[in-house]
Amino acid sequence: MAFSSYLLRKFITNPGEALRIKRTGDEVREYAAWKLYSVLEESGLLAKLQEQPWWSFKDRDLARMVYDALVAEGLADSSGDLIRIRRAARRPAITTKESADLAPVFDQAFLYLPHALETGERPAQSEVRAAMAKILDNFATRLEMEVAVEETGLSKLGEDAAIADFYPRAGASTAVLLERTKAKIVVVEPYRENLAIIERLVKLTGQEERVSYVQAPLEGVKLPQRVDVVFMAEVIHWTFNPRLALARARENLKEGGFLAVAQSVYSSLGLLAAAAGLLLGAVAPPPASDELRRMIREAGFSIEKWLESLGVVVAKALPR
Amino acid sequence: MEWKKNLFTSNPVNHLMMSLKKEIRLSCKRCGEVSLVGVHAEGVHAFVCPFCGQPHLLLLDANLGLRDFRAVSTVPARKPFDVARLKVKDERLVPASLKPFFEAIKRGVLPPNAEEVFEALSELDLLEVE
Repeated sequence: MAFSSYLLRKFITNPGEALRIKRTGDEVREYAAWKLYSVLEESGLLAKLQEQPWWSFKDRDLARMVYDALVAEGLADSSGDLIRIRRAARRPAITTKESADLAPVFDQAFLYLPHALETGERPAQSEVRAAMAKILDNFATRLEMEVAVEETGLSKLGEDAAIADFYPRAGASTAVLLERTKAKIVVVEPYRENLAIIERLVKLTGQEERVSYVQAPLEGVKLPQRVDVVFMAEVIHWTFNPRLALARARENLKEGGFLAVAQSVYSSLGLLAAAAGLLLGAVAPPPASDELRRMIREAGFSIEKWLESLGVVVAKALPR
Repeated sequence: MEWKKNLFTSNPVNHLMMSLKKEIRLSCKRCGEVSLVGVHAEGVHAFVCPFCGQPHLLLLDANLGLRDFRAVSTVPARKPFDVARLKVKDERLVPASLKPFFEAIKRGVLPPNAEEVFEALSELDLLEVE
């Protein structure tokens, strides 16, 4: 099922909201493409990108993503491992609070792009901590998580159900689960400094009794009790071994439980957002849509629901 | 651009705003001892009682009037005998989860759990202590 069918259904019940979601996606994509183009032009890298193949840059993953994003946005034509610029990007008007909230992250992240492309050095985590938190916890990314909660049926779970929130980092997924579900939440977070932030956010919501914490790497996590759902929001390309993380997700599910995923993939807005993410702490480019399907299946799940649009996937998968 | 700068600094109203300074009396919420502290900017400030070490947050309005003063468990700055102004380095990067609380503070309302907001901002390296 395409994401557009979600929007269509939303349009019937709430046309204003459906149009706003659509507009947000378009605006964020156009803004990110414009910012990427502008930074490359100002740094003189736009010319280099037309003369040098992507693999000759120090940061190959990033260079490849930049090449592919420019081509996908219609700003350049692909010519083997080179590109030829077709037209300049235009700055879009920003009209929704979600796109206004995410735009500064692209401003900040793409500042590091020229240096990273030429030297292969990405900024230190301590330098980009706030931007990293913001790329995960902004109103646009929340919209994606809210759609995932609604579409995978998390909002229908009762108070006795338990959801494992895998790797929330800045706590955006935890906040969405607290807001949109009634279930208990088990935060599974590998890093102590992230846990400190999540615990503060939970305190601010006044719902401490609903949340428990497990500090463990996703690849080796064994929860004290199995859960009804594992929620993975923008986790795959931020994890060193996503296949192992998915396998652990399956092992920690109760009988009848399921996996809920909200994930950028290697196309459209997902590609642009992931290029910014790569500069702010993601460990790899996002998977292609087919690759994500394969990873989920190989971890022992069958996919029950798959919504995809603008390079973002919302999926529900059941253990086989 | 020099003329613009001169225009700004020579404006008597702006000049007055910039040089606004006040001394306020703060009575510790824990031990009751009174401290006299100098303030010169609106916004949220941290204050640690020099007598008992109790941390406090205070909120000053544009006229440096005390809008809120409360004891908290911790403050991001420890500066006895003085107050430290708490400022957010880049408002655009405040995460969505903290935005409602941050907006409330900007409007001049300290939420009940304000110290958690400042601690979270501090952990994200978004807080500047003057």
